[in-house]
Amino acid sequence: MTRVLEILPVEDCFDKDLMREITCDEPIDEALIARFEKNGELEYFKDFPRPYFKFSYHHVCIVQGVLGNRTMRATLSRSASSSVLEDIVQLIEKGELHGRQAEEVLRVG
Amino acid sequence: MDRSHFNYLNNAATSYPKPKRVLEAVQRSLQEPPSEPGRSRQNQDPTLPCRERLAKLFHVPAPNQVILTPSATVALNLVIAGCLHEHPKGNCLSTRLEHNSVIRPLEHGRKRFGTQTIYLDPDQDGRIASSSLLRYLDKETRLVVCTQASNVTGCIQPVEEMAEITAEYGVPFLIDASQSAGCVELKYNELPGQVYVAFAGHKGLFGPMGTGGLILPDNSLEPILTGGTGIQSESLLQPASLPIRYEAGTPNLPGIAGLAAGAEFVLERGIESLGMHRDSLVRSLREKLTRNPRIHLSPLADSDGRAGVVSFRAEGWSTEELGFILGESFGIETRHGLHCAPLIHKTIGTEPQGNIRASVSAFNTEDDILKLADALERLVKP
Repeated sequence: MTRVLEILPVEDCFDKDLMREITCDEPIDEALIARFEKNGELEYFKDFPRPYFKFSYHHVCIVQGVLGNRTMRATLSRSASSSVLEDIVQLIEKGELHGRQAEEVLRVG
Repeated sequence: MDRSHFNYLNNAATSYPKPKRVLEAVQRSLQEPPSEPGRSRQNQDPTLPCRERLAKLFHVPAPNQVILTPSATVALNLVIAGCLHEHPKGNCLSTRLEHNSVIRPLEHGRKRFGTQTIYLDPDQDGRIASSSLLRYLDKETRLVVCTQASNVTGCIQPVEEMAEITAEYGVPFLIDASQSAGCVELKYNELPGQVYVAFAGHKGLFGPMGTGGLILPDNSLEPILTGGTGIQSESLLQPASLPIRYEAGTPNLPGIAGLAAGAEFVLERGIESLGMHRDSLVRSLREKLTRNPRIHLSPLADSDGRAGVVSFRAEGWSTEELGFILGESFGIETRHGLHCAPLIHKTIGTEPQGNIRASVSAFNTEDDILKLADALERLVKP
């Protein structure tokens, strides 16, 4: 199973304190994309030169990436709770989630 | 992903590839025993070829009017801080097209010297009407600053007309040629009044990153950086002579050697010819993108594409996502976001996300344009 090696903030033109780059120990494959599909809304563009996916987790985190890359990009919404990235890591590494409800991934207050 | 196979369309940030002679010049500079201007036993000042070629490119009367700096940002700061330091308060005139390398020094000038800046809006074509200066110029105006070409839209500004006006009012005029140097002709010797020109070395002049410069009329500005110059060391104050008055510290000789080679390349090819090449690619891309009603191009006065920039947004995609897909999936390197020019996006309707910018250089071909147009056709269904 894929392991997450590091998660780093992405510096960008904007104040991107909500954007992270997730680096894995192996390239993103179809199996990982299928795991995303089971656990949220997935858009998968297989016909692109390098297939591209976009996974939305309870509308508080968008993960996007390309088949074959070791990195993917996660964009958190301001309302995301701190546990959301842990959920994404668990999904990547273990292929399953806690089964949290939407309200559980929202920041309180 | 192996970036060497990218279709590189981010030349407005940094030109790539560089002419072979630039690589060779940098390598040669590093391989030879160091010789520094004023500090070595060699008679030849190693920075002189660079100054001479830049002076020729910009039609500057004397090479010592070309100051070599680590970036256009340093050059812009030198003029803005120098002008405001000597005459605090009052006002500056600039435009909403400017890069943060102009806006931030002006806004810090507001804090430090109490100088207010008025930012002029471009017209619908993306151009500043030179006559709009007349509305705000007065005896309290300390400086006028305008880009020669917007780094967001590529739109070329009438800086020659502006210089006529600022000269009439006796106000110094700072032209930011970061995006236009090597792309658009600027005849410094024909500009009246006290004109300064800041330029980047790593874009249209094909030099390495970390190079740039300033063209100035005289030594009247207060230097913002002082230090060793290798000559007149007995003086405890910065020497008055040009160019060392504004060049404290050990120069970036490998970078300067590369910039000299880049300037030589531009002189040989000719600014007009290089500009025509960029213009033809820009017109081709704009013509293709205009066919798609869901792609919205930024304004470009007279469709003049000599600066080599096409910027746009596409319905149905955030600029961040579209830029990511173009790069990672299609292998086309563009730039997305605000491009460090936050004020213009409100004017052209691309706030808050900014836009996608594709920018071409001497080494791009119609094939690069076709690849981007094809990718956008697939991504943005009309």
